[in-house]
Amino acid sequence: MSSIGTGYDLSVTTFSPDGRVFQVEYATKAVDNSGTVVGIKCKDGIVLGVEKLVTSKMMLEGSNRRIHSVHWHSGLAVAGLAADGRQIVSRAKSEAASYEKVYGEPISVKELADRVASYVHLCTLYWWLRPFGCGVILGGYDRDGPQLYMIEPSGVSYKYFGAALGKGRQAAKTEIEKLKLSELTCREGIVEVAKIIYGVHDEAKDKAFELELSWICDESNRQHQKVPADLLEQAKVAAQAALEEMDAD
Amino acid sequence: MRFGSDSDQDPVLVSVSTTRPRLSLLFDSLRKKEKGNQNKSRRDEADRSIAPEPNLNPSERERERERRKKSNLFEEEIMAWQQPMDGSHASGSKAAAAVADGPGTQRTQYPYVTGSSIIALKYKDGVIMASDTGASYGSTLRYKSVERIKAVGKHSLIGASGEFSDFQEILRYLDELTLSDHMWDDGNSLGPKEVHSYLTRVMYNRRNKFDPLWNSLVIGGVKKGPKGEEKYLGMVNMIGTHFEENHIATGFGNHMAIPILRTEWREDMTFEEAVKLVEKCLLVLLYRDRSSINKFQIAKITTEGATIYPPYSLKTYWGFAAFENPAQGAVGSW
Repeated sequence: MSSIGTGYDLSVTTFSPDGRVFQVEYATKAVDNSGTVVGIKCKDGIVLGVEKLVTSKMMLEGSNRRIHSVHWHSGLAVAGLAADGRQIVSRAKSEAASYEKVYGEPISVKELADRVASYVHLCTLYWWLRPFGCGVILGGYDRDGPQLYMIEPSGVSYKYFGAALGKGRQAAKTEIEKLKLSELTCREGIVEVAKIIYGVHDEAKDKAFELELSWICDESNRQHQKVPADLLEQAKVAAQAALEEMDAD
Repeated sequence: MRFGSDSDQDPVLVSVSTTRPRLSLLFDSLRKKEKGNQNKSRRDEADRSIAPEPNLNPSERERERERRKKSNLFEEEIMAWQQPMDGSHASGSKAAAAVADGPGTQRTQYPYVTGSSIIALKYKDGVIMASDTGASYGSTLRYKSVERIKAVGKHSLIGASGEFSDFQEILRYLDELTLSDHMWDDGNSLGPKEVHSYLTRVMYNRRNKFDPLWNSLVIGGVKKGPKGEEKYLGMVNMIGTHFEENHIATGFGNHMAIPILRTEWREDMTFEEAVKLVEKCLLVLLYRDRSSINKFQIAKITTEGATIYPPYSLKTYWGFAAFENPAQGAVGSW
């Protein structure tokens, strides 16, 4: 690492001579080491999926959730430091709530993404703050239909058809590109996301993981919620079957 | 000092308000009165100082005097609070004065736009709730189609008598509550019992701030509990009184409809029977309650969820002799 020992990597308020902010890059590394997070925009909604790495066998199933609801119509999936993610989630919630209080209608996904991105960016501007060690994928449904945004520790936010973060992001992105997202329904989408998460999971390095899935579509009343247990189970079964088929080839 | 440059201020009161700022609401109203009757209260103070005072140092004595003055004025304050308990017959002349809370803020201490009775009862499959769709501006029937029954979450209905804007504020609180409930996404959801409990706290808390939400609220619902499907019907009013019942009527209905409900209500009523009973109550109220109108809304909540039916009217008959000539037999001085 070229930055180490140069003295330009200790503060977010100091650029290196070639114009980089190393602290932000280190924060990105924290995201890259995390379990894979995938979000896709289907024709009728959004599906978010997380490979939640289980660090202890004694951990209760369903705890330390990485997908959170923000308001009725949107959800946030966190890659990286989960605790940093909760801070972002709580900010997103309060932004959404205050928007509705002021303007009398739910916040648009674009506006929400912008506000969350500003907050994340804010933490890269002061020496007494540390950038967030997490990236988030924000999915929502408003009058302009379903939308997907990804926000990185630097504070940039882009709109995506499909996005991925974490260890398996490269492989996941390749898989997402193979999907026909404009024709895919959310019901099909949850199976595809499950397949991707199971596919990129590295059995050798990380033993156990839990699949977290959420969606926002007509079937969920255009509300963000966990994928119902029976559908989640079906998706898991399909993903495992696909994996075995691949191994057999 | 809280009150800035008010030069004609009673110095004693200012010092007290600074030491006990949280009594401000009550205190400022006292102060207001004080300013009007300064001469009178100075005299009172002089009179009271004749009563034997315990042996106190000067600052304690000052506080003791203050306490006495306060307890006396407090009774007057209570007199001004003698209000109708529900909002269905708001009367401006009886209303308490708006109480100032420090410079710049004034709170609405009496209702402006009010809705009349809510009728609600448990029946075989759930809870039925009914009201008219009128809202009065004082005693003027000003609005003819306001909805005073709303669904809350998945399992509950709420109906409101009294100040309509306060009800709208309460609906905002409930939206917040159901939103945070949704965001947990943990498979649990707030039932009518929880919503009722929440509202009792809100209403009682506001009454204790001397800034009540001027409503009688009825909460009905059905939710799966440890004993299977549990029906729930409860109410809470502007002073925080709350209870559960098999049938509830607020406002004028508390007087006119409760006797009917007591004699005719049964646990195993079908929806049709329940509608009939509710309509009977509504009709009696239409004849007797000047602030009710002939446009009604019925809502039900069952395990299937809430259904709020579109408004409709009931057939009336005004040909009774007593209606033809209401003054006859009513002997009065005018």
